[in-house]
Amino acid sequence: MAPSRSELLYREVPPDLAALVRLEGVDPDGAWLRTDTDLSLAGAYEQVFLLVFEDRLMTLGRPCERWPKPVRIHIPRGSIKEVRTRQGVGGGFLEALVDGVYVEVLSYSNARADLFHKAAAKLKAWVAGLTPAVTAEDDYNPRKCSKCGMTLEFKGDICRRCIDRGAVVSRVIRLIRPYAGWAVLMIAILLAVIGLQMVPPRLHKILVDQVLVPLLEEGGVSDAGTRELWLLYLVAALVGILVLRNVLNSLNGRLSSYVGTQITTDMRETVLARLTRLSVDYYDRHSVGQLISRAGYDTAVFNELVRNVAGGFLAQIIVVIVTGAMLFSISWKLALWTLLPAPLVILASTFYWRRVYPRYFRVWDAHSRLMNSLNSILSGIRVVKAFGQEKREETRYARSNRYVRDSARRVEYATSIFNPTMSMIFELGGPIVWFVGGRDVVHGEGLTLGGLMAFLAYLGMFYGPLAHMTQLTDWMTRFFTAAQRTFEIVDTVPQITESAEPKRLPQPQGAIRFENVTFGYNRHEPVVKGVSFEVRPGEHVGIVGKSGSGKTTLVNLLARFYDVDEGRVLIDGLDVQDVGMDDLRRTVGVVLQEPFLFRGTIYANITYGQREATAEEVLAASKAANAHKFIMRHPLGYDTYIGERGAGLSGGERQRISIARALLYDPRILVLDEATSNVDTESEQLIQEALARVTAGRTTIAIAHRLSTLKNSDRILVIDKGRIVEHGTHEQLLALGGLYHRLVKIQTELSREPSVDALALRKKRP
Amino acid sequence: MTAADPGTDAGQPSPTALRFLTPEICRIHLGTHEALHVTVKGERIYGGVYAAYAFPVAHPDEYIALIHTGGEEEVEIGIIRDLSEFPDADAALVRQALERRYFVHTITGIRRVGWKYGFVNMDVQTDKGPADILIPWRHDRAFDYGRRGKVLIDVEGNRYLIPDLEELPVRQREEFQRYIYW
Repeated sequence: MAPSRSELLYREVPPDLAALVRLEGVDPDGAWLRTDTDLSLAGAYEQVFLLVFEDRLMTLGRPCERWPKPVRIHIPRGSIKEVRTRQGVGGGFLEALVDGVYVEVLSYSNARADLFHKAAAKLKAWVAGLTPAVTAEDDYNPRKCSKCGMTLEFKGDICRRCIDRGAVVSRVIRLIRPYAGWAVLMIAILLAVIGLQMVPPRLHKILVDQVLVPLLEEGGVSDAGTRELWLLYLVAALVGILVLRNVLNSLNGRLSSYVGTQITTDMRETVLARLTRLSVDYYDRHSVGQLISRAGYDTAVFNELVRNVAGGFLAQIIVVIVTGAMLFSISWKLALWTLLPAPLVILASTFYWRRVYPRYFRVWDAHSRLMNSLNSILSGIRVVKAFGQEKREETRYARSNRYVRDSARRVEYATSIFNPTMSMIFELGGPIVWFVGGRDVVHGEGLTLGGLMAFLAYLGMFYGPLAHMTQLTDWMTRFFTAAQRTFEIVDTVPQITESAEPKRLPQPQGAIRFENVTFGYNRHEPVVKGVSFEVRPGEHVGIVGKSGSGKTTLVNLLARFYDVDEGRVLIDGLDVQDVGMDDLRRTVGVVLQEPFLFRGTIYANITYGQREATAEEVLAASKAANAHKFIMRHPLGYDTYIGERGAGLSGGERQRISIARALLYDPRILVLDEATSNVDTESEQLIQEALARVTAGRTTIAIAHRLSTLKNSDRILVIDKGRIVEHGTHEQLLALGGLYHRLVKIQTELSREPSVDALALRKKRP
Repeated sequence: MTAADPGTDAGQPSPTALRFLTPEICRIHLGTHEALHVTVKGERIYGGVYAAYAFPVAHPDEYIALIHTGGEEEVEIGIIRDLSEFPDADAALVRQALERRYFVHTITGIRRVGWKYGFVNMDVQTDKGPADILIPWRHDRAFDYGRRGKVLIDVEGNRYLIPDLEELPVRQREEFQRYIYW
């Protein structure tokens, strides 16, 4: 069965436009690719079609002043040498190379960028003489939500618009399930607390009506002694309720804290476990700050949820219902009167949370800007002074300071009106009750003085939670969003996954082969293009090239931080995608330009990948890495505690520790990615000596911009714009007179610092 | 080599020297399939050129770079210091090229702003017509444009510009700043 046609790359041309172009002798049905863009080449919204036939391409649009004919661009295939997309600002262009000039075929907004990257790939094949198939598979776009079509931030992301809220609730319930017993107990205590809260006003009523103002004809307590005894009982009951309520509240607070913090702790650990398993590409798309916020703060909403179940919103809802019932049970007529200010309470609270509260965001932002400004001035005070910019910085600071002042005033002016207004609304219920209820008491119309006092007490309990309940939707929105953000991480599937049947590399030899490898961090913009090369076991290969030429990408693919888009990377004849992750990590070791050391002792950092290493092995590795000497200069030697990212050590010292770490890890293939670029020449020499020892007998791939460090490599690959343009030994490449020769020449001319070679020579001199 | 120096190296502009393009040394015209061409006297004709602002906020009609995209590497032919110095026809071609490259909607009015599940949803009036836009609620999706403006980037990557927030009616500005408060 033939595959179904693409709906995006094989669209129907509208009948009116099709009829117009048929008059020009063009049959749109003959095109193998038909798609439309949303912009004209004038940069305005307009539906313009791209039609590609066997022998030509053309763009069609409805006739207008600028383009009076429906066919706007018509280019025969034979005159097109290349097709590409070019990014603009907010959109892009599909361009064709015609007569040595890239001409704009059409433009598109960013909404269509993915579509035209795909179309360009088809057109490239077409220019090469092929007629690529346009099938339904081309319509799949992992950056679009399959339900609503919304563009996702990255491929495979979860569509927030289509989040199944029910699913979030059921996941939250599943999360709480292990603590179900505790949750039931908390709710039971909560109900008991609310029940106890309702009792005192009732006791006040008895106290007033039957003890303090006894009405004999209504069955009140008559003699003073009995009244005193009742007084004692009732006061004792009030004290008992007070104590019991507080005990239960404390217990519930403790329980909610226990359960809430435990769930948050569990969730944080789950999130971190997922984060450490996610592939490197995930970190390309997410800033560390954003992830810290998710793992650190979003997870805290689960604690907040438990607290709300134990005594927050749930309690307020129940209190409003129960006190409402109490008010009606005492006097339905009076209760209706007291409901008069209730809509005002709800309206005012809604106004506050919608209009006033968001102003606090600006205040926080203003404070944050002020702190940043101060931090920038104080941290860079030497630069400020060196350039004589004190006045300018004072002005900038004053501007931030005024922003804080104005933001704070906006909030405080609003709250200074809002708070007294709310108090007034709350207090409005009192006079209403005193007047209407007071008249009933005076006229003896079904309400006693005690009843009136109980009513007033319940009224106080009624308005407060009502005001807070207006925040319920805000809180729920925040909760669902934060919970979903947390679940998003937990649900994210790593792009780099281990093969279902991983192959072992028990005794790796270290042979590497790249077979026609193409890869781009953005799939449509390859950084490495059809690269093929081999490295023999034990061979030392240097990779050189300009910044952005694709050097580091090659080693990223070797270590399988990313998967290739096309081609294969093999180690000892096995595709790295088939090799078990543990074996791969053990086989390929990487020493990075920026050695990352963790907070902890030097010993812990050296043994990071090899926890079971003995002290002797650590000493030997450090000696070989030229690190032992400086470590021993520290009073606590290997037990010296180093700060975050190796604070307290120089760049060269950090690098030598990382080399010792790699040496202890003992990988068969060692990748040195600009391992000596951030250190001074003297340190570089020490590191080079260490590396000579470390790399002996191992397959080594070294990337370096100081070309002198690679001159002893068995072979050097020269990369330019994602392709290997030259390869050979240092001498062969120099003799070739190509890019490598140019790079060496530039470095020799520009370098004013003494090179390692020069230093070595100087040392040899007597 | 000074700023006024043509700064050419074997028929190509030098990548390290600043060259200002003036009507005296260059002509801007259309060539093959209406591609923008620049002819530099005594140098060559550059076909397939695009224009880019150096200071789109501070100097929107000045310091416009003309860039040739012929090979794998782009070459800056030179910078137009002041577009008004050029003949109207040449200047119009550059402005059209800029309009094509900068596909930005300028927001002229805000009808409604809402927030849901991490997105700010705005119903706005733009120079290109009304639009209902969805913006991830993040600092990098709404950033400063000069001292008083904002650039918004929606979920599709489309750009929306508010050149000066102060020029919006107070109610619209307050509505906007409730969510985009930074």
